This record gives sequence, structure tokens and C-alpha cells, in this order.
Amino acid sequence: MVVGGHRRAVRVFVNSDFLAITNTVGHKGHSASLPCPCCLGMRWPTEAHSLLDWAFGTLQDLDYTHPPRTAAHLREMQEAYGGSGRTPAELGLATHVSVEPVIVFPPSPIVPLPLHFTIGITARHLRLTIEAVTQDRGSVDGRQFAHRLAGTLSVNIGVEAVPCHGGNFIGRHCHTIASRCGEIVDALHPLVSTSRLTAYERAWELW
Amino acid sequence: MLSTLNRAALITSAEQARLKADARALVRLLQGSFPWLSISPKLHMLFAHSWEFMGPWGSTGLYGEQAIESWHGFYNRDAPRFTAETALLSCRKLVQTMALRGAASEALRRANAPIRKQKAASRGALRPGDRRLR
Repeated sequence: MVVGGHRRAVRVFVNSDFLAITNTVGHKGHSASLPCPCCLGMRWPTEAHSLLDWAFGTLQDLDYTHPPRTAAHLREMQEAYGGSGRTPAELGLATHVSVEPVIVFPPSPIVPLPLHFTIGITARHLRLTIEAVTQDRGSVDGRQFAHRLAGTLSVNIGVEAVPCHGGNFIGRHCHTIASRCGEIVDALHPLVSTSRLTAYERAWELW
Repeated sequence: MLSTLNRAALITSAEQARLKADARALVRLLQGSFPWLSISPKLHMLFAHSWEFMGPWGSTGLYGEQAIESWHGFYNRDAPRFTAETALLSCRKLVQTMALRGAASEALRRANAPIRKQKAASRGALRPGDRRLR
């Protein structure tokens, strides 16, 4: 890069939300068959993609080490989508990528989204309580608990969801929820089994 | 994990090792105790890649996306000015405009100007008509 007339070495970090990062490497984010921008892992085990499941493993299998994406692979995809040489379908790349990669880079400079982790995984923890109540006591209790949880978050913890970030909580509020998660555990206490409650409490401790 | 991921500081290797262990323990616990839960791409990245990035660069909070998130506001407000054939071209127009504006904007000039000390002045109300309460 030329800065003030001098050529300088720069290091590029790829950093944004999940969709932007995955678009940069040429696929459609969460809905892609191989959703991770850093490695080749199938989202779900499916019959239609059983060969790919066997070759790359799925994200659901925590013991499997997925092969990493490489810059050479991205370059090959870019050339295929750019119309030079063989088509992506001929190369068998259509399942790896849906569009032409914008930049070719190895996965090492992809920043793993700390803010979006904070927002997304906090929301997942909250949704999990409603799902656990629904699972243990039925959908009516699940719906009632959803209202109670909203009240607990608003009144006891003092946080409100915002329209941006997809109706989730802002980062600072996620930290508040994590530090006062005891209020949520107390609300959940009479509604789910002891083992599930203990696991949920431990999940907050780890998070 | 929350503070390790978000803290804008270099993380010690001991804390990095704890993040790796905690991330793995969390995802395994969730999968084991809540069998209907699927491992989303974000949970996968937390489990498999967050600590990988932290190894060579020492932090994730220092490289976090908080700053770039504030660009959403600029883009949403001025979106009609940056219409283009594709979303990518639209973003490029926005970034070019921001770069050119950043070079010469009044706000930037003010931000870079030397700070002048204010003259010491009476803050209290002197007359009934000077529109100060105290």
C-alpha cells in the first residue's frame, strides 16, 4: 500500500458481521452448506450431501477436525467464477461458494466477531430457557415463561432489546445480563428439571 | 469468556488457554444438556476458531468490530446517496466518500486543532435578565 508516497507493508484483518465476512469469501453465510469462513465443515448431516459430510464432517460433530479453507482454494474459486478456464460446477466448487470471492486471503486474518458473539450467544442463552420450559412443560408454559423472562430482563435486570442488532440486546446490556444471570436462573428454577437448571447455570458461568 | 473475548488488551497465554477450555466446555455442555440445540456457525467459530485467532495476534477485543458497527448508522442515513448496481459498489461509494470527507471535513479540522484554554469567567447569574439560573 502506498502511504504518503511511500510503499508500506500492511496487514489486512477481515472484520465485520458474519454475513459480510462470508460474502467476502464467496458464500451466503448461515444458509450456505459450508457456512464457516475459516474451515470446510458441513452445516448439517444430510442424505443429499452424504459424500461431502463424509469428506468434511459437520459442525455438529465437535470431535471432528475440519480441513481449513486456503488462499489457493479461494483463488481457484475466484478464477472459476471470473470466467477464466473451467466453470465452478465443473470444478465441483459450487457447493463451497455461491458467488465470486471478493478478496483472496487465508483464514488466519479473519477476526472472530467478538461483538457479534456477545450479542448472538447471549440471545441464544435466553432463547434456551424458553425452549427448555417448552420441552419440559409444554408450549403454553413456554409462552408464559417468555413473557416472564421479558419482565425479568426489563424490570429486574434493567435492559431492553433494541431494533438494531435484529431486536437483540446491545453489547453493554449483554454484559449486564451475564453478570445478573441469577435473576433468570431464579425465574427458571420451578419450571425445569434440576439437571437442566444446573447445566444452564454452568453455561452462564462459562460464558 | 465474555471479558476475554471483548477486552481491548493483549491476553496472557494462560487466559487464552482458559478461553479455549471454556469455549469447548460450553459448547459440549450445551450440546449434551439441550439435545435439540444445533451448533450454529457462530457457536462453531467460538468453539473452533476464536482461540486460534488469539494465538498469533494476542487478542480479539483489539481487532473487534465495534468501530465498524457505527458505520451502519452513516450508511442507513445516507443510503439514497450511495445507490449503485450492487450492494458492494454501493459500499465502495460510501467508503470513498467517507475517505474524501475525512481528509478535509470541518469536524476533523476542529478535532486536530490545538486546544485553547477558556478564559476564566463568572458562571453565576449577575443580573435578573441574563437568562442564568445560578
